[in-house]
Amino acid sequence: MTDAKFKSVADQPLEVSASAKAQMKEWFNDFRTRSMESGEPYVIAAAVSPHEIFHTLDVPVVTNTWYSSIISAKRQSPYYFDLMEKLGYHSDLPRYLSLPMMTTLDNDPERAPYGGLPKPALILDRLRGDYAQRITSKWASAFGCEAFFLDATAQKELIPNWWELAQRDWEKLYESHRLDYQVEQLKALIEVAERVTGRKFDFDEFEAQMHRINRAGENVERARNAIAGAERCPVAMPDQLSNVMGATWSRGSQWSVDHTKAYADEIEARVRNREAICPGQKTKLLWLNTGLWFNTAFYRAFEESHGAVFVWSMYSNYLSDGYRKYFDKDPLRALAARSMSMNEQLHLPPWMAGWILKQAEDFGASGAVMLTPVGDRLSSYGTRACIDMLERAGLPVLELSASMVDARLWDNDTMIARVGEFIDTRVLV
Amino acid sequence: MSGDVVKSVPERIDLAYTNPEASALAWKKAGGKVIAYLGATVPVELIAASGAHPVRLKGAAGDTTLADELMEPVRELYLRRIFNRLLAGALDWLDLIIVPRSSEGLLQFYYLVDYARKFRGHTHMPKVVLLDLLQTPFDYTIAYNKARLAELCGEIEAVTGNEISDDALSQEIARYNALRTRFRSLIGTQNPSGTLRLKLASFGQTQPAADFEAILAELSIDAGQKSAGRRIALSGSPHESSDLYELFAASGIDVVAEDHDWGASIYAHDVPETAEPVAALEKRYRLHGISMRQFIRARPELDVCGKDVQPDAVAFYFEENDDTLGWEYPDERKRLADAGIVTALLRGPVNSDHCRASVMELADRLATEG
Repeated sequence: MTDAKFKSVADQPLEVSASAKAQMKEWFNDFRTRSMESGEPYVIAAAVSPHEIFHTLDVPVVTNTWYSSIISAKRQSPYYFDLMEKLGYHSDLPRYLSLPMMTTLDNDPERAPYGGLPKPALILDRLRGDYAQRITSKWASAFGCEAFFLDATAQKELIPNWWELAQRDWEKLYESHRLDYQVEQLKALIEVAERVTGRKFDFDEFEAQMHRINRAGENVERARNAIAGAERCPVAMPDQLSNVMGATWSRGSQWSVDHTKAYADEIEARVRNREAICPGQKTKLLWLNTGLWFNTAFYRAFEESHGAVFVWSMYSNYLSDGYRKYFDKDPLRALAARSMSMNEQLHLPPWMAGWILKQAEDFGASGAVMLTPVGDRLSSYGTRACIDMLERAGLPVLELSASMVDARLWDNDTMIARVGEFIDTRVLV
Repeated sequence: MSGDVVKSVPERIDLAYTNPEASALAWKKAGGKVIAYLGATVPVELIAASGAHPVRLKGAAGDTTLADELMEPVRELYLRRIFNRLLAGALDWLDLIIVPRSSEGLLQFYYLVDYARKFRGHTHMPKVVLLDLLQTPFDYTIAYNKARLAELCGEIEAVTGNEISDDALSQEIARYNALRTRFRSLIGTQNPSGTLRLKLASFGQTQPAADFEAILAELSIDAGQKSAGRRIALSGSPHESSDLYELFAASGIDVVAEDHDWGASIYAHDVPETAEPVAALEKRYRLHGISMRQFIRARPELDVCGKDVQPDAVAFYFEENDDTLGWEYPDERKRLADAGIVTALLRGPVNSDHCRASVMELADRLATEG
């Protein structure tokens, strides 16, 4: 069933999505040419660490999550899981972030994607959970490189509606003593980064990058508002993910500003032209917690059958709400504010649930599906209380548990049946 | 229990083990303040200097039905049990609970208590404060921690109504150092069994300092309670209960050293008495506070006196859903093998069939290898 007032763009990705893919390819080619072939210094960094320091130094940054996803996509993860067991790592240890380290311990360039990662100048990690220091120390030792740890101070007071304060009132939101500490850590990181890469940190360039990140965030907010206010969803979740995440990884670049502007322009044009990915849309859903990276088609599996469209995930506008930090004179303190509570905003129950409820209200969503990595303690923290808070506010939630790195364990038919039943019995009633 | 009956030292140790909060509750009923804490990184000296009764909370037994509504099943069982008691109102009598940020589980526990109070109406629960004591070896961490300890002093003073003076703090530091010294001396001279050593270590975490002092002074361990059998060191996840120790004992194995945060090692390091008190506490608990986030952990075969116990084996026990300590196991296994020491891997829960089988397997192996 379709609505004649709307033109279907169900099979048409955004035009800007090609640019996002090209940028990703260009980033990899640059990394391969400069670091893998010519031996220029590069850095391995946690996804939520301050990449801005290295972008300013013009040093390539590889995230461990990116390399994990490549290993999984090339279906090599079972081999490395077996290796983990052979080496004596018990089966309950978190696997997603440790896969890249396994390629180093294995030391088999024939098997590892792209021949394995070369020795980095530095591995950077943030000690949010308890195991990061153990994995990173071990990995750095295997490479024979230095590791830098950003300790994770704890927020004492979780002020509600963090997204209203996070951009301009971050001094109040994140607690000054924590910001002081994070600034000290960033200064130490800059010193180490300059030493191990042999480059000089340019504060003017850094400040310019910080402004550009804010501008990109403004563009993403425009896009988000256009999607939220549209009667029918104009852009599919996989398109949202590739465009916004592409800009997030390249944050600070002029490309990210231009790209997010084009992204917002195209979505606004689709709304004006009454273009919809599912003209027969009956309900809107939110996707919560971890992304289903190995099966992004799943997000769209309920459009034909149920008229149910996933309109939002935390990746849709975190570049807008979480990354933007306006500042008058201290960009380093603004970077401190950005880099010290990312996970917390996305995973601590009242912060996580409050933000989700705001999105549900603005998007007019009627239900949510939460993906929880199976057997992963760190990723599971707070999910039950979050569901509790959402359900009490009247938003039905279905929790799915799944492995994030082993696609073989994903039973697509069963998962589709579960979400379908959820829509039938709790959303479309 | 009747106050008229004088209990023997072993009976007092057992009583404190089975009912660890009894003395704190009695103190409260007599009009005193009780401040509870979790983990092994809260400076108990600060609580004692305020005149309050410190008591470390245990979650060795109990229901989790209420907690399970809000806590994921992968969380640490002891925290699920303590949270259950909090929700049920069983800990409302406490004046304050201090939660250190010495594991992600503890930090998430703190936030969940906050959630239950603000969003689920559990306003009956006692006040819970966070001690964000970091354990990284950086200069800026030291300054950060000292400020957090000063804040904690303020929280404790507000609850007790007593100012924590430098003199009072120095006295408590000296007193707890003396207790640690006595504990180490007793372990070194009397050689108690692993089970008794664990219970004795636990006594010092839950009972008044004066009682601990008396126990350490009076305890004379008879032959039946001395260490006997094959000697192993135990590494890995914490043990509030002596179940695993008893399982080993039933197979002729005694745990002569351990590295978890309810074991004897919590008494291994003193607080420097010549330094400024808060600075001294910061250093001691940052470097030597046993926790998931402790940056450098001691080798498991070292006992509370820092002596290599030269065990016949080292058993590594990891609770279900362990995501942290298991990362060290392969390297440790290799290091110990190079030193000619047998290792065994045990997975929780303690009384599961697979854990029992692993204990038996180790016992057989030690018997076979002589």
